[in-house]
Amino acid sequence: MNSPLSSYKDSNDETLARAVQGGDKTAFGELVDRYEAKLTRYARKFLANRDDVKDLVQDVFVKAFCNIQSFDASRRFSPWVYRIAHNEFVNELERKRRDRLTFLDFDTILPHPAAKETADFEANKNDLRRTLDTYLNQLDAKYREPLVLYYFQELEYKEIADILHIPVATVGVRLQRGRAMLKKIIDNVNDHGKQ
Amino acid sequence: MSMTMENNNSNSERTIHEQIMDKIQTGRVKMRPKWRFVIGTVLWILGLAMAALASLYLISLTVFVLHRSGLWFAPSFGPRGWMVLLFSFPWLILAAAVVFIAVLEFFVRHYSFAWRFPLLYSALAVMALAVAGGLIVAQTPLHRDLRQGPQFTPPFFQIRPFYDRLDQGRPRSISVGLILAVSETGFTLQELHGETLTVIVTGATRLPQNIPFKPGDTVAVFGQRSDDDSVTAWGINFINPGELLNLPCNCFSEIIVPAITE
Repeated sequence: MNSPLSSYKDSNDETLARAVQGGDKTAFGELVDRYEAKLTRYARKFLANRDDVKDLVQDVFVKAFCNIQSFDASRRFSPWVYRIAHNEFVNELERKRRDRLTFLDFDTILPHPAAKETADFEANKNDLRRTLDTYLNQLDAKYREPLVLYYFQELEYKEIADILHIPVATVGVRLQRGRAMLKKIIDNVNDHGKQ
Repeated sequence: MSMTMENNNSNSERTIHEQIMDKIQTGRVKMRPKWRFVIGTVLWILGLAMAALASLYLISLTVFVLHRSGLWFAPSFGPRGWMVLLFSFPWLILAAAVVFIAVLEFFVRHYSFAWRFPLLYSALAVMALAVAGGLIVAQTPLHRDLRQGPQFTPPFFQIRPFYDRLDQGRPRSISVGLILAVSETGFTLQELHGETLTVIVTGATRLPQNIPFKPGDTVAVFGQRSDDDSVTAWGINFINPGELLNLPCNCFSEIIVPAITE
């Protein structure tokens, strides 16, 4: 006979979330195990290696548990929990006023042509990830977040759009602009190095 | 002090999993019941519906005011007519409609079918739906009935005085009414609001339809009225109820003619 723990391992996120909604608190522990590392990495990269990352991730899970009844189990759990994390982290940035994210975002007003990843970029993904890791802190939060979700969390455009509540084409635009900014930063660093 | 430090140390040593599960098992973190989210959703939908209704009401009211004041016919007189329309347009009502459309867009943007598209698209879609809906509502007798409806006593909303005030604020350079008698110099007009005017027609008066006047015709007269209740018209437009807006219903006869014959 399968123990509850082994059956949790075999269950998908949505089944576990449904079990939590039905009152099975232990199932939430399995969801914490599955997302702890991912959300910690997301927080660390997006919030630029702050000391209170662990507390913030804990707050995300507390909010997820409190609001689990609002989760529609016919949809995917991952974008839902990432959305809570996004809100928590953005609020934290606003609280500290280090990076202000404006309410009206001009990137989401006008339509953009869909910007897909080029084969060149896909091939250099690992190199880019290493470079990003070094200079990520110098990018605006607005561009840093999609870069973190795409390169470090390895999420698809649509998943990122679902988390940030923006059109898919805007995700492409932000990634492009983020990379362009990164290139500019690297060029500046190289220029200073030569001098 | 040392106790607190020990607690902090023990907290930092414990994993996130342990800390969360401890809070949940001991009841320090509680799940919010489903009905709270249901109420939140219902309130959101109510807000959305209220904003939609307000937008429809204000847009249809704009059309109603344009018809009753005769401003609707001003553009047929070319640039001068457009200027009259521009200066006498019920901008305040339209501004209120725009505010409610913006509120409606805010409520709609909460849903994925809206935020999956650029703000420009969803805003244009909301605006187009609100304008189309407003034009449809303008075809119904809603505003006529509200204007003629019972006068509620306070604390109820005083809807009739509101419509009376709208009538009082009509542009003085346009008179809409029924021709009572035709004379050599023009005609006598009974206005929608009950007043009788002497309309003077000169060689400079523009008559887009070029049809001779006869008693019983309904017209919109453009021209500044004098103190002696006469108007030297610079433009006169016959109002044909059937042609109004090319709408299927006979809006004009429903809205204006009963008021004249009252």
